Amino acid sequence: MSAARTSRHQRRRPALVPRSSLLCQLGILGLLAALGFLAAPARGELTARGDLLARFTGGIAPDALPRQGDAPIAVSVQSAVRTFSGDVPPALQTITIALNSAGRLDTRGLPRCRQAEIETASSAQALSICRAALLGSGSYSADLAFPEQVVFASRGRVLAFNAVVGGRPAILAHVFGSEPALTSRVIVFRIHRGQGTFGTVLSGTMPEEANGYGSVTSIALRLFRNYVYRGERHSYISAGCPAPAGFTSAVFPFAKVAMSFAGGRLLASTLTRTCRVR
Amino acid sequence: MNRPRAIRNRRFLASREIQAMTDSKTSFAGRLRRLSAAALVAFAAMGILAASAPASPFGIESWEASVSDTRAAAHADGFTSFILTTDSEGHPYAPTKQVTVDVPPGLVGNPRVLTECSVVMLKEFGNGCPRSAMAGFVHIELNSSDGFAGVLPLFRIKPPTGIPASFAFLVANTTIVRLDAEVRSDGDYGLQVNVREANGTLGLTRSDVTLWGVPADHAGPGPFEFNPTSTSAWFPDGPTFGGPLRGPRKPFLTNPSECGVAGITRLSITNWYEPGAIFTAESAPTTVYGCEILEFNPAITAEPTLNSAATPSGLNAELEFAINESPDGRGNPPLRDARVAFPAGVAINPSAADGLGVCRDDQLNLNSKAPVTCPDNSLIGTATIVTPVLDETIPGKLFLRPMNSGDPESGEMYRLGLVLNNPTRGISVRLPGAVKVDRNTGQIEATFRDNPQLPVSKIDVDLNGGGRAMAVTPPTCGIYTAGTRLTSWGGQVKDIVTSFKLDEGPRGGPCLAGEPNQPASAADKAKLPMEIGMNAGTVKALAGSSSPFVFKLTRPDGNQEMSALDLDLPQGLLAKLAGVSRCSDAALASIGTSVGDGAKEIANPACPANSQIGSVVVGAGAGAVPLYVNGKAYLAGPYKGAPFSIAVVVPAVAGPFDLGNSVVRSRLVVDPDDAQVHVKSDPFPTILGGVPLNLRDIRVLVDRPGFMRAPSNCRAMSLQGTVYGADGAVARPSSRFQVGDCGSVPFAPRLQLQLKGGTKRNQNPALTATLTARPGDANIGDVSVTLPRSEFLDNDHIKTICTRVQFAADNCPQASVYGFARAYTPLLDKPLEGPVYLRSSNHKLPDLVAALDGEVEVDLAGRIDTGKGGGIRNTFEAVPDAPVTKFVLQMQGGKKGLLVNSTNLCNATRRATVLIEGQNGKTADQRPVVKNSCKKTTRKARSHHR
Repeated sequence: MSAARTSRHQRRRPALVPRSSLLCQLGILGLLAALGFLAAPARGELTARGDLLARFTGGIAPDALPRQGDAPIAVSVQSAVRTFSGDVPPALQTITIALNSAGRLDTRGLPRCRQAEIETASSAQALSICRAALLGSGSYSADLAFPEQVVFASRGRVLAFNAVVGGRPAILAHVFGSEPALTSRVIVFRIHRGQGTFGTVLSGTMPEEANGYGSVTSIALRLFRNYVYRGERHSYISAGCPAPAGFTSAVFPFAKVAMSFAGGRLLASTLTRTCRVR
Repeated sequence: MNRPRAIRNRRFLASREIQAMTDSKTSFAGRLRRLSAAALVAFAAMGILAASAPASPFGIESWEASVSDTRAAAHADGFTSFILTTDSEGHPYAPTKQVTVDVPPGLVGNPRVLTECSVVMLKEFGNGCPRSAMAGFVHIELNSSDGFAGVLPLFRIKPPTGIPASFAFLVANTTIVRLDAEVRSDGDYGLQVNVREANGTLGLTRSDVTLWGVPADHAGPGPFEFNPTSTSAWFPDGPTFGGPLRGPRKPFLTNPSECGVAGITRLSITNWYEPGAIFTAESAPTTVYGCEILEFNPAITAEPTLNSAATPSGLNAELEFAINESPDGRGNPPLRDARVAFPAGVAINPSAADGLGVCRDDQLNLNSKAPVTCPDNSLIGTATIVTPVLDETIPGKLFLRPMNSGDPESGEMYRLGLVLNNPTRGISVRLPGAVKVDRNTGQIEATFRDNPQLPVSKIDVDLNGGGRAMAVTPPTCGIYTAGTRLTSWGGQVKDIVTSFKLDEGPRGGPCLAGEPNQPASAADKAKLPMEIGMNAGTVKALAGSSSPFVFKLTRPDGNQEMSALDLDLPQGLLAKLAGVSRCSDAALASIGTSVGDGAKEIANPACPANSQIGSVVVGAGAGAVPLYVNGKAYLAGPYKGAPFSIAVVVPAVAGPFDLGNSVVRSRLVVDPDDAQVHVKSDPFPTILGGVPLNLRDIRVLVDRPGFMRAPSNCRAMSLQGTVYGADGAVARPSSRFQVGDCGSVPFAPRLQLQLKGGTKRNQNPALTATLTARPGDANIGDVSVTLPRSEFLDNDHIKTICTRVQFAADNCPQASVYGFARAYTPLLDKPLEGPVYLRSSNHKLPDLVAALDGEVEVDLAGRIDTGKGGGIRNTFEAVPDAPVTKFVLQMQGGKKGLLVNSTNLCNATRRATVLIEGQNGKTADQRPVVKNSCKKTTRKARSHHR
């Protein structure tokens, strides 16, 4: 059953990621992993520039994947920002998440949500409107620092919906928070094809948080959606573990995350993960 | 008119005097004449002598007065002589009725060195007085039927009542001629010798009187004592009388002590034929010399009568003067000026003014013998004078005189009148005194100038003590020094420093500051306590009621002076300013602060009556019975940044004093956050007219009907005062305040909410919230409004935020305005209104702040968060405890709208959750429908659909 599902996915794989290139790189990585040169960090990757520090975590689940073909996976990415000094970090302006080309996005037959439908809506409202287009969920946190006030964290729930923006696939991240007051926003992650190792790139422009008084400190998103379209099962994201022959696992660059901040600073890191051949 | 006659008389006098000198070379009288004859001649030629009389032949042909020794204060013999005009037969033109001789001031006699004889002894026993009673002798010439001319002894006799001293001689064994020595009351208090009701049959044509400087020195060779068996005429050979004197040698006459002043002796004569006609003559001036060697050695003590600090006390000044009784030396110059400077801290006690009166000039009758009719309430002290010339002391009374000036340092503001009265002796001396008071410290300096040139051995002046004593002692213990300057008529100046100790605290208690055995220091005042009592509250302690407000501040004796007051009223204790006039700055400025202005203000207040809100009673002065004066409290306009002020006008009119008006203005600062009223006074006057006020008791009664309003919150509160001491201490008295019966005050406000404008999702509607309350309801305590979940906070519309710094500076950016609010209150004539800002806060989100402005500024800060049901909640937790009949909050919509619809408002009826709690604890929770701009048909349809 798994093989059949894989073959369906292979047939319908959108031309987002050149499979040959992916296999090639995974093979090299698998070799390196087998030689013990690379190891997956347990708590995510830290990167810093000046006073600014970011930690990126994420991965795929399950990590046991077929050597041949794809299997549905859940992809989670989380980034957290802080400063060594404890000051409020500068405003996050853009976030780019480039996923390994081994992953494949499939939105065929997946309902879409329109941004206007979920703007100014609670999570429940958004779900009631766009539940069919739901791709996953997550969380969102921002430090709000109004003038002369104590900094506080505003947290919200994130719902990811499938969408097309400007004729291209996109993810609408609907953020809803009720503390300290009801508020919602939509972050649009546009999806485009990347080059090389990272074939799928999600890039989002962060809306100004409370007229610049706020600063995003963390955003987490877990994408996982299986759905049936015309009688066939689909997964929004699927991937395989192309370990070289003789290897039961492979180490691969899972994702590259980059964040740009007000003032021009850029923090980026590559997340390396391991998959097992099942 | 009489000048030709006077000249003729003088010419006659000159020739006659020269002849007299020739005739009496060996006589005693002749010796006396020689002393001054040359001078008399010279002065007569210069026209010094004068006689005035009606056109009658009767007149003074010559007049002479001199002393044997012109050294100052010498005990010289004195001589006077007058000759009357006579007809060709040597008869006087009229019989003499009265002879008055006014001697220069300072020339005094001490009759006490002579034995006092009696008329009986003199007359019945034919000059039977003892030799020790003999003051001198008289040479008279009578052109009567007896034709007597001769020398007669002059004895001291017992004076009649009202006469200090009398002398008499016996004429022809039948007629006693009495010379009454009196004290003039025309200001110089010189001696005056009068012969009254003279026997008209005597035919007096000449009289020469000789008074001995030292009577004992004139003992003659023969027996002198009257021998009743002798029939021989007295002194047939002239003044060869004498005899052994019984008793010690003591000086009888003493010259004036003031050098450089021409002393003139005046003669006034009347006769029996010409009633009212007075014939006068002046002697040649006599000037004494040698004042500089006179000895003036006074001693003085000047001190309060109590040794307690900060206590009403009498003051005592005691002066003693050494009297040189040696007949061979010179006398002591009498006191001319006395100036006593009490130490700083000894000051006039305001309490003394209560019931005090003054002695007017027409009652005191200075320089007159008219009766003193000073009212009893003008008596502020007593005095006792001891003089060596009288057997008894002279009692005195010290009276307060009316103010002549508003300058306390002039000596004309506080004036004294010392009346020394001895009716038995006919002595009535009235001396003006001046009290100069330092206008800044209140230090007292009392001065009596040009005292009589009479011999005094002791002066004791006491200023009244008791609860209303004229003076108050310094506030701290320690040793104080008083400086005194005494000046004699001889020109000697003595500066004497005396000290006294205060070793007890107020009213005999322990010292509150200062070391009793150490010199007092001004720094000690800073150690004085500041234990101020305060009581305040509304007369009716009913929640929300209108009631008079009373306030009382008390300060114990010995505490630091109160110099200013800050008073924090309880929240909710407010005033209804609507309909109350303001006393303008111009009117307040017109209130005079000069002497005499107090009475004018009382008669015609500067502030309009409609601005009066209450009355004030101020107690001033140390001791158990402060002086209370009344004033008025007026509502005034903006002052020193505060929107209102209170002007307390207290006419400083007490007893005889009118020191003008005291105007103390207090700012009424209204806390914009809770409308709590803070009263901040200007500095209190601590000294007025040089009188330290020693404020003890300040009472304010704000009793304008309907003016004060009690809170509608029944929690226990307090009035918190801050009283600043004049020497740095600060007291923080507090008075508990609580109203009751909150449960009986109704509370039923209503809130209406309406969203205007966009009704669709993502649109930003405007919001209008209207809160209405009934008059008489309890005031609103807090309000919480939770909007339906249809309204989100539009993050993108949170633009500019006014920082608290900007807000405090009233400098919020225009972009931080998100709405407008208006509040109607019965307390003010006009509603308060102003913009609604997003302002930085202590909460997570900025507060929504309505900056209400008008007659006062009130800021209503609402916290934005999420309510129970999840909707946006705005909570006004600190609503002032003030009556508001209507409050309208209008939040903008559109691009400035902070709310954004999360759904189409027309889909359903939405309700807000409103929690309102009254200041009295009652609640008025409600779930009002949030009106919107959906078309009625739509709503009807929707309603029908439901």
